Amino acid sequence: MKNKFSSENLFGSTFRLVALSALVLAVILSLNLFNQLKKEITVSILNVWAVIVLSILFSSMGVILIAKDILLTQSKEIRETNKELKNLAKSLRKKVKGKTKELSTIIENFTDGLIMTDSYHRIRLINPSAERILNINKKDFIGKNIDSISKESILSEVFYLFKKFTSPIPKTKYLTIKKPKEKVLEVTNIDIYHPSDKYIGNLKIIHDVTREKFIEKLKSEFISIAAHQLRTPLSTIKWTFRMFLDGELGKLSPEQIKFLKNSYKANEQMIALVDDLLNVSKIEEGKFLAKFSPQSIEDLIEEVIQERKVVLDKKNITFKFIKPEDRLPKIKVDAEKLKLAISNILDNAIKYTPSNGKISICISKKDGWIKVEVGDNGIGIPKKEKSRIFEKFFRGKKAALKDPYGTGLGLFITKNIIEAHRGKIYFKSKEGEGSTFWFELPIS
Amino acid sequence: MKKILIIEDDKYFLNILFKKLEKEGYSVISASEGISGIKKLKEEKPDLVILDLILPGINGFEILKRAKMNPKTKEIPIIILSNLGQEQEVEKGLRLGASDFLIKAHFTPQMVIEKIKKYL
Repeated sequence: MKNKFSSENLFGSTFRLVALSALVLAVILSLNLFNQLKKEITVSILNVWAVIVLSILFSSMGVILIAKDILLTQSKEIRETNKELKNLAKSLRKKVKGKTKELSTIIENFTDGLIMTDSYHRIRLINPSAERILNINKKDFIGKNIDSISKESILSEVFYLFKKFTSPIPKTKYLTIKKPKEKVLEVTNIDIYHPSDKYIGNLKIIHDVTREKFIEKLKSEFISIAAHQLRTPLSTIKWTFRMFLDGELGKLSPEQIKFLKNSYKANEQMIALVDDLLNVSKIEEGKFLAKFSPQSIEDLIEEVIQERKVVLDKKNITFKFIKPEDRLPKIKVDAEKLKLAISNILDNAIKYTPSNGKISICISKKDGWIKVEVGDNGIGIPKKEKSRIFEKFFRGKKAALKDPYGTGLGLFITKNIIEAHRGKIYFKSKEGEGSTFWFELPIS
Repeated sequence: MKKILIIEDDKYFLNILFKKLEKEGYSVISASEGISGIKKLKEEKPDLVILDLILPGINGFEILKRAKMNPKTKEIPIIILSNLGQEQEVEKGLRLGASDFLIKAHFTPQMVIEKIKKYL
Protein backbone atom coordinates (compact mmCIF):
# COMPACT_ATOMS: atom_id res chain seq x y z
CA MET A 1 0.00 0.00 0.00
CA LYS A 2 2.59 2.44 1.17
CA ASN A 3 4.93 1.92 -1.81
CA LYS A 4 2.29 2.22 -4.46
CA PHE A 5 1.40 5.70 -3.38
CA SER A 6 4.79 7.14 -2.65
CA SER A 7 5.58 10.33 -4.57
CA GLU A 8 8.86 8.89 -5.72
CA ASN A 9 7.08 6.08 -7.53
CA LEU A 10 4.49 8.28 -9.12
CA PHE A 11 7.15 10.63 -10.41
CA GLY A 12 9.28 7.74 -11.60
CA SER A 13 6.55 6.14 -13.68
CA THR A 14 5.51 9.48 -15.28
CA PHE A 15 9.08 10.22 -16.15
CA ARG A 16 9.51 6.81 -17.69
CA LEU A 17 6.38 7.29 -19.82
CA VAL A 18 7.51 10.71 -21.11
CA ALA A 19 10.94 9.39 -21.98
CA LEU A 20 9.44 6.41 -23.75
CA SER A 21 7.12 8.55 -25.86
CA ALA A 22 9.97 10.87 -26.83
CA LEU A 23 11.99 7.89 -28.00
CA VAL A 24 9.07 6.50 -30.01
CA LEU A 25 8.55 9.89 -31.63
CA ALA A 26 12.17 10.17 -32.62
CA VAL A 27 12.24 6.67 -34.12
CA ILE A 28 9.06 7.25 -36.09
CA LEU A 29 10.36 10.55 -37.33
CA SER A 30 13.74 9.28 -38.43
CA LEU A 31 12.33 6.09 -39.98
CA ASN A 32 9.80 8.05 -41.93
CA LEU A 33 12.36 10.57 -43.09
CA PHE A 34 14.86 7.92 -44.11
CA ASN A 35 12.32 5.80 -46.02
CA GLN A 36 10.92 8.77 -47.84
CA LEU A 37 14.36 10.00 -48.80
CA LYS A 38 15.49 6.60 -50.08
CA LYS A 39 12.40 5.90 -52.20
CA GLU A 40 11.65 9.37 -53.45
CA ILE A 41 15.16 10.57 -54.18
CA THR A 42 14.22 11.64 -57.68
CA VAL A 43 11.00 13.26 -56.69
CA SER A 44 10.91 16.96 -56.50
CA ILE A 45 11.85 18.88 -53.40
CA LEU A 46 8.25 19.93 -53.03
CA ASN A 47 7.18 16.33 -52.90
CA VAL A 48 9.89 15.61 -50.39
CA TRP A 49 8.68 18.47 -48.24
CA ALA A 50 5.11 17.30 -48.62
CA VAL A 51 6.15 13.86 -47.50
CA ILE A 52 8.13 15.33 -44.62
CA VAL A 53 5.22 17.49 -43.56
CA LEU A 54 2.84 14.58 -43.87
CA SER A 55 5.09 12.21 -41.99
CA ILE A 56 5.55 14.81 -39.28
CA LEU A 57 1.81 15.21 -39.17
CA PHE A 58 1.22 11.49 -38.93
CA SER A 59 3.90 10.92 -36.40
CA SER A 60 2.74 13.81 -34.26
CA MET A 61 -0.79 12.45 -34.44
CA GLY A 62 0.59 9.10 -33.33
CA VAL A 63 2.44 10.78 -30.52
CA ILE A 64 -0.67 12.69 -29.52
CA LEU A 65 -2.68 9.48 -29.51
CA ILE A 66 -0.07 7.69 -27.40
CA ALA A 67 0.25 10.66 -25.06
CA LYS A 68 -3.50 10.91 -24.76
CA ASP A 69 -3.70 7.24 -23.94
CA ILE A 70 -0.89 7.53 -21.41
CA LEU A 71 -2.40 10.62 -19.86
CA LEU A 72 -5.79 8.96 -19.59
CA THR A 73 -4.41 5.91 -17.84
CA GLN A 74 -2.29 8.18 -15.67
CA SER A 75 -5.12 10.38 -14.49
CA LYS A 76 -7.29 7.36 -13.88
CA GLU A 77 -4.56 5.86 -11.70
CA ILE A 78 -4.06 9.13 -9.89
CA ARG A 79 -7.77 9.47 -9.31
CA GLU A 80 -7.92 5.95 -7.92
CA THR A 81 -4.87 6.55 -5.80
CA ASN A 82 -6.37 9.73 -4.51
CA LYS A 83 -9.59 7.95 -3.63
CA GLU A 84 -7.77 5.17 -1.84
CA LEU A 85 -5.70 7.70 0.07
CA LYS A 86 -8.83 9.51 1.12
CA ASN A 87 -10.43 6.27 2.29
CA LEU A 88 -7.32 5.33 4.17
CA ALA A 89 -7.16 8.68 5.90
CA LYS A 90 -10.82 8.40 6.76
CA SER A 91 -10.48 4.95 8.24
CA LEU A 92 -7.33 5.98 10.10
CA ARG A 93 -9.09 9.02 11.52
CA LYS A 94 -11.92 6.76 12.57
CA LYS A 95 -9.53 4.25 14.13
CA VAL A 96 -7.54 6.91 15.98
CA LYS A 97 -10.77 8.46 17.20
CA GLY A 98 -11.97 5.05 18.34
CA LYS A 99 -8.67 4.26 20.07
CA THR A 100 -8.54 7.65 21.76
CA LYS A 101 -12.09 7.19 22.95
CA GLU A 102 -11.24 3.69 24.15
CA LEU A 103 -8.15 4.93 25.98
CA SER A 104 -9.88 7.90 27.55
CA THR A 105 -12.74 5.68 28.67
CA ILE A 106 -10.23 3.34 30.34
CA ILE A 107 -8.40 6.25 31.98
CA GLU A 108 -11.58 8.01 33.09
CA ASN A 109 -13.07 4.87 34.59
CA PHE A 110 -9.90 3.31 35.98
CA THR A 111 -10.43 2.56 39.66
CA ASP A 112 -6.83 3.52 40.43
CA GLY A 113 -5.78 7.13 40.29
CA LEU A 114 -3.61 8.11 37.33
CA ILE A 115 -1.51 11.24 37.12
CA MET A 116 0.69 11.98 34.15
CA THR A 117 3.33 14.62 33.59
CA ASP A 118 5.16 15.51 30.38
CA SER A 119 8.90 15.83 29.82
CA TYR A 120 8.84 19.35 31.33
CA HIS A 121 7.21 17.98 34.52
CA ARG A 122 3.96 19.70 33.70
CA ILE A 123 0.85 17.88 34.82
CA ARG A 124 -1.01 16.67 31.78
CA LEU A 125 -3.57 14.28 33.17
CA ILE A 126 -5.41 13.58 36.40
CA ASN A 127 -8.18 11.03 36.16
CA PRO A 128 -11.39 11.14 38.25
CA SER A 129 -10.12 8.35 40.56
CA ALA A 130 -7.02 10.38 41.38
CA GLU A 131 -9.25 13.38 42.13
CA ARG A 132 -11.40 11.24 44.40
CA ILE A 133 -8.57 9.42 46.21
CA LEU A 134 -6.48 12.55 46.79
CA ASN A 135 -9.52 14.79 47.27
CA ILE A 136 -8.27 17.35 44.73
CA ASN A 137 -9.72 19.17 41.74
CA LYS A 138 -7.81 18.59 38.56
CA LYS A 139 -8.52 22.13 37.33
CA ASP A 140 -6.18 23.44 40.05
CA PHE A 141 -3.27 21.44 38.72
CA ILE A 142 -3.49 20.64 35.01
CA GLY A 143 -0.73 22.40 33.07
CA LYS A 144 1.23 23.34 36.19
CA ASN A 145 4.81 22.31 36.75
CA ILE A 146 5.14 19.92 39.70
CA ASP A 147 7.80 22.17 41.25
CA SER A 148 5.39 25.09 41.31
CA ILE A 149 2.81 23.21 43.35
CA SER A 150 2.60 24.07 47.04
CA LYS A 151 4.71 21.71 49.13
CA GLU A 152 1.76 21.18 51.47
CA SER A 153 -0.50 19.79 48.78
CA ILE A 154 -1.12 16.08 48.63
CA LEU A 155 -0.08 16.01 45.01
CA SER A 156 3.31 17.32 45.97
CA GLU A 157 3.62 14.55 48.59
CA VAL A 158 2.81 12.00 45.91
CA PHE A 159 5.50 13.40 43.63
CA TYR A 160 8.20 13.78 46.26
CA LEU A 161 7.87 10.13 47.24
CA PHE A 162 10.16 9.43 44.31
CA LYS A 163 13.19 11.13 42.84
CA LYS A 164 12.79 12.67 39.43
CA PHE A 165 14.08 10.50 36.61
CA THR A 166 14.34 7.23 38.46
CA SER A 167 14.35 4.45 35.94
CA PRO A 168 11.96 2.91 33.46
CA ILE A 169 11.37 0.10 35.98
CA PRO A 170 8.19 0.78 37.98
CA LYS A 171 8.70 1.30 41.71
CA THR A 172 6.07 1.16 44.43
CA LYS A 173 6.00 2.99 47.74
CA TYR A 174 3.41 3.53 50.44
CA LEU A 175 2.09 6.90 51.44
CA THR A 176 -0.10 7.54 54.46
CA ILE A 177 -2.22 10.66 54.27
CA LYS A 178 -4.07 12.07 57.24
CA LYS A 179 -6.45 14.59 55.70
CA PRO A 180 -9.37 14.62 55.16
CA LYS A 181 -9.48 10.96 56.14
CA GLU A 182 -6.62 8.65 57.01
CA LYS A 183 -5.70 6.69 53.94
CA VAL A 184 -2.91 4.34 52.97
CA LEU A 185 -1.93 4.69 49.33
CA GLU A 186 0.23 2.46 47.25
CA VAL A 187 1.90 4.69 44.68
CA THR A 188 3.59 3.20 41.64
CA ASN A 189 6.05 5.38 39.78
CA ILE A 190 6.74 4.79 36.09
CA ASP A 191 9.05 6.99 34.05
CA ILE A 192 8.19 6.74 30.39
CA TYR A 193 10.95 6.72 27.83
CA HIS A 194 10.78 6.80 24.04
CA PRO A 195 12.45 3.83 22.33
CA SER A 196 15.26 6.26 21.53
CA ASP A 197 15.77 6.70 25.34
CA LYS A 198 14.31 10.20 25.34
CA TYR A 199 12.34 10.99 28.51
CA ILE A 200 8.72 11.53 27.59
CA GLY A 201 7.04 11.87 30.95
CA ASN A 202 6.01 10.22 34.14
CA LEU A 203 3.00 8.25 35.27
CA LYS A 204 1.88 7.76 38.85
CA ILE A 205 -0.63 5.04 39.63
CA ILE A 206 -2.35 5.52 42.97
CA HIS A 207 -3.98 2.50 44.54
CA ASP A 208 -6.01 3.00 47.69
CA VAL A 209 -5.04 0.14 50.06
CA THR A 210 -6.63 1.60 53.19
CA ARG A 211 -9.12 -1.22 53.47
CA GLU A 212 -6.57 -3.97 52.86
CA LYS A 213 -4.26 -2.49 55.48
CA PHE A 214 -7.14 -2.18 57.92
CA ILE A 215 -8.16 -5.81 57.41
CA GLU A 216 -4.54 -6.92 57.70
CA LYS A 217 -4.30 -5.11 61.02
CA LEU A 218 -7.60 -6.59 62.20
CA LYS A 219 -6.46 -10.08 61.26
CA SER A 220 -3.15 -9.68 62.99
CA GLU A 221 -4.91 -8.36 66.10
CA PHE A 222 -7.40 -11.19 65.94
CA ILE A 223 -4.66 -13.81 65.77
CA SER A 224 -2.88 -12.14 68.63
CA ILE A 225 -6.00 -12.04 70.80
CA ALA A 226 -7.13 -15.53 69.79
CA ALA A 227 -3.72 -16.91 70.68
CA HIS A 228 -3.86 -15.15 74.00
CA GLN A 229 -7.38 -16.26 74.81
CA LEU A 230 -6.74 -19.85 73.77
CA ARG A 231 -3.47 -20.08 75.61
CA THR A 232 -4.72 -18.57 78.85
CA PRO A 233 -6.80 -21.54 80.09
CA LEU A 234 -4.29 -24.00 78.62
CA SER A 235 -1.42 -22.47 80.50
CA THR A 236 -3.38 -22.41 83.74
CA ILE A 237 -4.13 -26.13 83.32
CA LYS A 238 -0.51 -26.77 82.47
CA TRP A 239 0.81 -24.92 85.50
CA THR A 240 -1.68 -26.57 87.87
CA PHE A 241 -0.98 -30.08 86.59
CA ARG A 242 2.72 -29.41 86.69
CA MET A 243 2.51 -28.28 90.31
CA PHE A 244 0.58 -31.45 91.16
CA LEU A 245 3.02 -33.64 89.27
CA ASP A 246 5.97 -31.97 90.98
CA GLY A 247 4.35 -32.75 94.33
CA GLU A 248 4.02 -29.10 95.26
CA LEU A 249 0.31 -29.28 95.98
CA GLY A 250 0.37 -32.36 98.17
CA LYS A 251 1.23 -35.98 97.71
CA LEU A 252 -0.55 -38.01 95.03
CA SER A 253 -1.02 -41.75 94.57
CA PRO A 254 0.84 -43.39 91.66
CA GLU A 255 -2.48 -43.87 89.86
CA GLN A 256 -3.41 -40.22 90.25
CA ILE A 257 -0.01 -39.28 88.87
CA LYS A 258 -0.56 -41.54 85.87
CA PHE A 259 -3.88 -39.88 85.03
CA LEU A 260 -2.49 -36.43 85.54
CA LYS A 261 0.49 -37.20 83.32
CA ASN A 262 -1.77 -38.19 80.46
CA SER A 263 -3.91 -35.10 80.92
CA TYR A 264 -0.78 -32.98 81.01
CA LYS A 265 0.33 -34.54 77.71
CA ALA A 266 -3.04 -33.90 76.10
CA ASN A 267 -2.89 -30.31 77.26
CA GLU A 268 0.59 -29.96 75.77
CA GLN A 269 -0.84 -31.16 72.45
CA MET A 270 -3.50 -28.47 72.63
CA ILE A 271 -0.81 -25.86 73.24
CA ALA A 272 1.08 -27.20 70.24
CA LEU A 273 -2.09 -27.01 68.14
CA VAL A 274 -2.58 -23.34 69.06
CA ASP A 275 1.05 -22.68 68.09
CA ASP A 276 0.58 -24.48 64.79
CA LEU A 277 -2.61 -22.58 64.03
CA LEU A 278 -0.85 -19.33 64.79
CA ASN A 279 1.98 -20.28 62.46
CA VAL A 280 -0.41 -21.29 59.69
CA SER A 281 -2.30 -18.03 59.87
CA LYS A 282 0.99 -16.17 59.72
CA ILE A 283 2.08 -18.22 56.72
CA GLU A 284 -1.19 -17.31 55.03
CA GLU A 285 -0.65 -13.68 55.88
CA GLY A 286 2.73 -13.94 54.19
CA LYS A 287 4.48 -12.67 57.31
CA PHE A 288 5.99 -15.82 58.69
CA LEU A 289 9.71 -15.39 58.40
CA ALA A 290 11.04 -12.46 60.31
CA LYS A 291 14.65 -12.46 61.36
CA PHE A 292 17.31 -13.62 58.94
CA SER A 293 20.86 -13.92 60.23
CA PRO A 294 23.92 -16.07 59.39
CA GLN A 295 23.60 -19.37 61.20
CA SER A 296 25.45 -22.61 61.44
CA ILE A 297 23.12 -25.43 60.38
CA GLU A 298 25.14 -27.92 62.45
CA ASP A 299 24.54 -25.87 65.61
CA LEU A 300 20.83 -25.48 64.93
CA ILE A 301 20.42 -29.23 64.42
CA GLU A 302 22.53 -29.92 67.49
CA GLU A 303 20.17 -27.75 69.56
CA VAL A 304 17.12 -29.57 68.20
CA ILE A 305 18.67 -32.95 68.96
CA GLN A 306 19.63 -31.86 72.47
CA GLU A 307 16.00 -31.02 73.26
CA ARG A 308 14.99 -34.54 72.20
CA LYS A 309 17.71 -36.54 73.94
CA VAL A 310 15.36 -37.73 76.69
CA VAL A 311 12.69 -39.05 74.30
CA LEU A 312 15.28 -40.71 72.09
CA ASP A 313 16.80 -42.49 75.09
CA LYS A 314 13.40 -43.42 76.46
CA LYS A 315 12.45 -45.11 73.19
CA ASN A 316 15.90 -46.65 73.04
CA ILE A 317 16.40 -45.39 69.52
CA THR A 318 19.77 -45.80 67.83
CA PHE A 319 20.48 -42.26 66.78
CA LYS A 320 23.23 -41.01 64.49
CA PHE A 321 24.15 -37.47 63.48
CA ILE A 322 26.47 -37.52 60.47
CA LYS A 323 28.16 -34.29 59.43
CA PRO A 324 31.10 -33.45 57.20
CA GLU A 325 34.53 -33.08 58.78
CA ASP A 326 34.91 -29.46 57.71
CA ARG A 327 32.42 -27.06 59.16
CA LEU A 328 29.74 -25.99 56.72
CA PRO A 329 29.52 -22.31 55.77
CA LYS A 330 27.01 -20.25 57.74
CA ILE A 331 23.86 -19.42 55.82
CA LYS A 332 21.28 -16.68 56.27
CA VAL A 333 18.19 -18.16 57.82
CA ASP A 334 15.43 -17.40 60.30
CA ALA A 335 16.92 -19.54 63.07
CA GLU A 336 13.73 -20.05 65.10
CA LYS A 337 11.69 -21.06 62.05
CA LEU A 338 14.34 -23.34 60.61
CA LYS A 339 14.66 -25.05 63.99
CA LEU A 340 10.90 -25.52 63.92
CA ALA A 341 11.14 -27.13 60.47
CA ILE A 342 13.90 -29.50 61.59
CA SER A 343 12.02 -30.26 64.83
CA ASN A 344 8.86 -31.14 62.91
CA ILE A 345 10.70 -33.63 60.71
CA LEU A 346 12.64 -35.15 63.60
CA ASP A 347 9.55 -35.31 65.83
CA ASN A 348 7.71 -37.19 63.09
CA ALA A 349 10.60 -39.64 62.83
CA ILE A 350 10.53 -40.16 66.60
CA LYS A 351 6.73 -40.47 66.71
CA TYR A 352 6.42 -42.95 63.87
CA THR A 353 9.46 -45.10 64.66
CA PRO A 354 8.86 -47.91 67.16
CA SER A 355 11.03 -48.37 70.23
CA ASN A 356 14.52 -49.77 69.49
CA GLY A 357 14.31 -48.29 65.99
CA LYS A 358 16.90 -46.28 64.08
CA ILE A 359 16.95 -42.58 63.22
CA SER A 360 19.74 -40.66 61.54
CA ILE A 361 20.37 -37.09 60.53
CA CYS A 362 22.92 -36.46 57.82
CA ILE A 363 24.07 -33.10 56.54
CA SER A 364 26.19 -32.49 53.49
CA LYS A 365 27.17 -29.81 51.01
CA LYS A 366 26.94 -30.02 47.24
CA ASP A 367 27.13 -27.38 44.49
CA GLY A 368 26.12 -24.39 46.60
CA TRP A 369 23.43 -26.26 48.50
CA ILE A 370 23.30 -27.64 52.01
CA LYS A 371 21.34 -30.86 52.33
CA VAL A 372 19.75 -32.04 55.57
CA GLU A 373 18.45 -35.58 55.58
CA VAL A 374 16.41 -37.28 58.32
CA GLY A 375 15.91 -41.03 57.91
CA ASP A 376 14.05 -43.56 60.05
CA ASN A 377 12.94 -47.18 59.94
CA GLY A 378 9.45 -46.42 61.18
CA ILE A 379 5.96 -47.16 59.88
CA GLY A 380 6.51 -45.42 56.55
CA ILE A 381 3.95 -43.70 54.32
CA PRO A 382 1.45 -45.74 52.27
CA LYS A 383 1.65 -45.14 48.51
CA LYS A 384 -1.75 -43.53 48.18
CA GLU A 385 -1.10 -41.05 50.96
CA LYS A 386 2.18 -39.80 49.51
CA SER A 387 0.71 -37.03 47.35
CA ARG A 388 -1.14 -35.48 50.30
CA ILE A 389 1.62 -35.56 52.88
CA PHE A 390 2.32 -31.79 52.79
CA GLU A 391 -1.34 -30.79 52.78
CA LYS A 392 -2.73 -28.67 55.58
CA PHE A 393 -4.53 -30.80 58.20
CA PHE A 394 -3.83 -34.06 56.35
CA ARG A 395 -3.13 -37.06 58.55
CA GLY A 396 -2.20 -40.52 57.40
CA LYS A 397 -4.49 -43.31 58.61
CA LYS A 398 -1.80 -45.25 60.44
CA ALA A 399 -0.13 -42.08 61.64
CA ALA A 400 -3.43 -40.94 63.19
CA LEU A 401 -3.74 -44.28 64.99
CA LYS A 402 -0.20 -44.07 66.27
CA ASP A 403 -0.51 -40.48 67.43
CA PRO A 404 -4.11 -39.27 67.82
CA TYR A 405 -3.01 -35.81 68.97
CA GLY A 406 -1.16 -34.76 65.82
CA THR A 407 -2.53 -31.69 64.09
CA GLY A 408 -1.67 -32.45 60.47
CA LEU A 409 0.03 -29.09 60.26
CA GLY A 410 3.66 -29.99 60.93
CA LEU A 411 4.79 -30.86 57.41
CA PHE A 412 2.67 -28.09 55.89
CA ILE A 413 4.47 -25.58 58.10
CA THR A 414 7.84 -27.24 57.44
CA LYS A 415 7.41 -27.08 53.68
CA ASN A 416 6.48 -23.41 53.89
CA ILE A 417 9.50 -22.64 56.03
CA ILE A 418 11.89 -24.43 53.67
CA GLU A 419 10.40 -22.78 50.61
CA ALA A 420 10.51 -19.35 52.23
CA HIS A 421 14.28 -19.97 52.50
CA ARG A 422 14.33 -20.63 48.73
CA GLY A 423 14.87 -24.30 49.53
CA LYS A 424 13.21 -27.53 48.48
CA ILE A 425 11.90 -30.45 50.47
CA TYR A 426 11.60 -34.08 49.37
CA PHE A 427 10.86 -37.47 50.83
CA LYS A 428 10.96 -41.13 49.97
CA SER A 429 9.17 -43.77 51.94
CA LYS A 430 8.04 -47.35 51.91
CA GLU A 431 5.23 -48.56 54.08
CA GLY A 432 6.55 -50.70 56.92
CA GLU A 433 10.19 -49.91 56.14
CA GLY A 434 10.64 -46.27 56.98
CA SER A 435 10.82 -42.76 55.62
CA THR A 436 13.54 -40.33 54.64
CA PHE A 437 12.80 -36.63 54.47
CA TRP A 438 15.41 -34.22 53.18
CA PHE A 439 15.62 -30.57 52.31
CA GLU A 440 18.14 -28.45 50.51
CA LEU A 441 18.94 -24.82 51.23
CA PRO A 442 20.97 -22.52 48.95
CA ILE A 443 24.24 -21.36 50.54
CA SER A 444 23.99 -17.83 49.14
CA MET B 1 14.62 -12.56 101.35
CA LYS B 2 14.22 -11.31 97.77
CA LYS B 3 10.96 -9.57 96.99
CA ILE B 4 9.07 -10.30 93.79
CA LEU B 5 6.13 -8.32 92.44
CA ILE B 6 3.67 -10.15 90.21
CA ILE B 7 1.44 -7.99 88.02
CA GLU B 8 -1.20 -10.40 86.73
CA ASP B 9 -4.96 -10.10 86.28
CA ASP B 10 -5.80 -13.82 85.96
CA LYS B 11 -6.53 -14.63 89.60
CA TYR B 12 -6.21 -18.37 89.16
CA PHE B 13 -2.86 -18.13 87.42
CA LEU B 14 -1.68 -15.57 89.96
CA ASN B 15 -2.60 -18.00 92.72
CA ILE B 16 -0.44 -20.80 91.28
CA LEU B 17 2.51 -18.54 90.58
CA PHE B 18 2.21 -16.95 94.01
CA LYS B 19 2.31 -20.36 95.64
CA LYS B 20 5.27 -21.54 93.60
CA LEU B 21 7.33 -18.43 94.36
CA GLU B 22 6.56 -18.60 98.07
CA LYS B 23 7.58 -22.24 98.12
CA GLU B 24 10.85 -21.23 96.50
CA GLY B 25 11.44 -18.87 99.40
CA TYR B 26 10.62 -15.47 97.90
CA SER B 27 8.62 -12.72 99.49
CA VAL B 28 5.75 -12.19 97.04
CA ILE B 29 3.47 -9.21 96.45
CA SER B 30 0.96 -8.81 93.66
CA ALA B 31 -1.21 -6.38 91.72
CA SER B 32 -4.07 -7.32 89.42
CA GLU B 33 -4.13 -4.22 87.23
CA GLY B 34 -1.80 -1.54 85.91
CA ILE B 35 -2.30 1.42 88.22
CA SER B 36 -1.79 -0.46 91.45
CA GLY B 37 1.04 -2.32 89.76
CA ILE B 38 2.92 0.92 89.05
CA LYS B 39 2.18 2.15 92.55
CA LYS B 40 3.57 -1.00 94.16
CA LEU B 41 6.58 -0.93 91.87
CA LYS B 42 7.46 2.54 93.17
CA GLU B 43 6.57 2.02 96.82
CA GLU B 44 7.63 -1.53 97.51
CA LYS B 45 10.88 -1.52 95.54
CA PRO B 46 10.77 -5.22 94.58
CA ASP B 47 13.93 -7.00 93.45
CA LEU B 48 12.21 -8.33 90.37
CA VAL B 49 8.87 -7.99 88.56
CA ILE B 50 6.87 -10.66 86.77
CA LEU B 51 4.66 -8.77 84.35
CA ASP B 52 1.65 -9.86 82.34
CA LEU B 53 0.82 -7.84 79.20
CA ILE B 54 -2.94 -7.91 78.77
CA LEU B 55 -4.25 -6.10 81.82
CA PRO B 56 -7.31 -3.98 82.51
CA GLY B 57 -6.60 -0.25 82.22
CA ILE B 58 -2.89 0.32 81.66
CA ASN B 59 -1.38 -2.57 79.77
CA GLY B 60 1.90 -4.30 80.46
CA PHE B 61 3.87 -2.50 77.75
CA GLU B 62 2.87 0.84 79.26
CA ILE B 63 3.88 -0.30 82.76
CA LEU B 64 7.21 -1.46 81.40
CA LYS B 65 7.77 1.83 79.60
CA ARG B 66 7.02 3.85 82.74
CA ALA B 67 9.14 1.61 84.97
CA LYS B 68 12.13 1.97 82.66
CA MET B 69 11.68 5.75 82.37
CA ASN B 70 11.71 6.29 86.12
CA PRO B 71 15.31 6.44 87.40
CA LYS B 72 14.18 4.94 90.70
CA THR B 73 12.72 1.80 89.13
CA LYS B 74 14.62 1.39 85.88
CA GLU B 75 17.22 -0.96 87.34
CA ILE B 76 14.62 -3.49 88.56
CA PRO B 77 14.64 -6.49 86.21
CA ILE B 78 11.23 -7.09 84.64
CA ILE B 79 10.34 -10.48 83.19
CA ILE B 80 7.32 -10.56 80.90
CA LEU B 81 5.21 -13.67 81.48
CA SER B 82 2.34 -13.55 79.04
CA ASN B 83 0.38 -15.54 76.55
CA LEU B 84 1.09 -13.08 73.81
CA GLY B 85 4.19 -13.96 71.92
CA GLN B 86 4.08 -12.92 68.29
CA GLU B 87 7.44 -11.71 67.04
CA GLN B 88 6.55 -8.03 67.07
CA GLU B 89 5.29 -8.33 70.66
CA VAL B 90 8.44 -10.06 71.86
CA GLU B 91 10.54 -7.50 70.03
CA LYS B 92 8.57 -4.61 71.52
CA GLY B 93 8.88 -6.02 75.05
CA LEU B 94 12.65 -6.46 74.78
CA ARG B 95 13.06 -3.06 73.14
CA LEU B 96 11.22 -1.42 76.01
CA GLY B 97 13.72 -2.95 78.40
CA ALA B 98 12.25 -6.25 79.58
CA SER B 99 14.92 -8.72 80.73
CA ASP B 100 13.11 -11.66 79.20
CA PHE B 101 9.89 -12.58 77.42
CA LEU B 102 8.34 -15.87 78.56
CA ILE B 103 5.21 -17.38 77.04
CA LYS B 104 3.13 -18.92 79.84
CA ALA B 105 2.01 -21.90 77.82
CA HIS B 106 5.59 -22.72 76.83
CA PHE B 107 7.07 -22.56 80.32
CA THR B 108 6.61 -24.64 83.45
CA PRO B 109 6.71 -23.10 86.93
CA GLN B 110 10.19 -24.60 87.46
CA MET B 111 11.50 -23.07 84.23
CA VAL B 112 10.25 -19.66 85.33
CA ILE B 113 12.03 -20.04 88.68
CA GLU B 114 15.27 -20.75 86.83
CA LYS B 115 14.82 -17.56 84.78
CA ILE B 116 14.14 -15.57 87.95
CA LYS B 117 17.32 -16.89 89.54
CA LYS B 118 19.24 -15.78 86.47
CA TYR B 119 18.20 -12.15 86.92
CA LEU B 120 18.42 -11.90 90.68
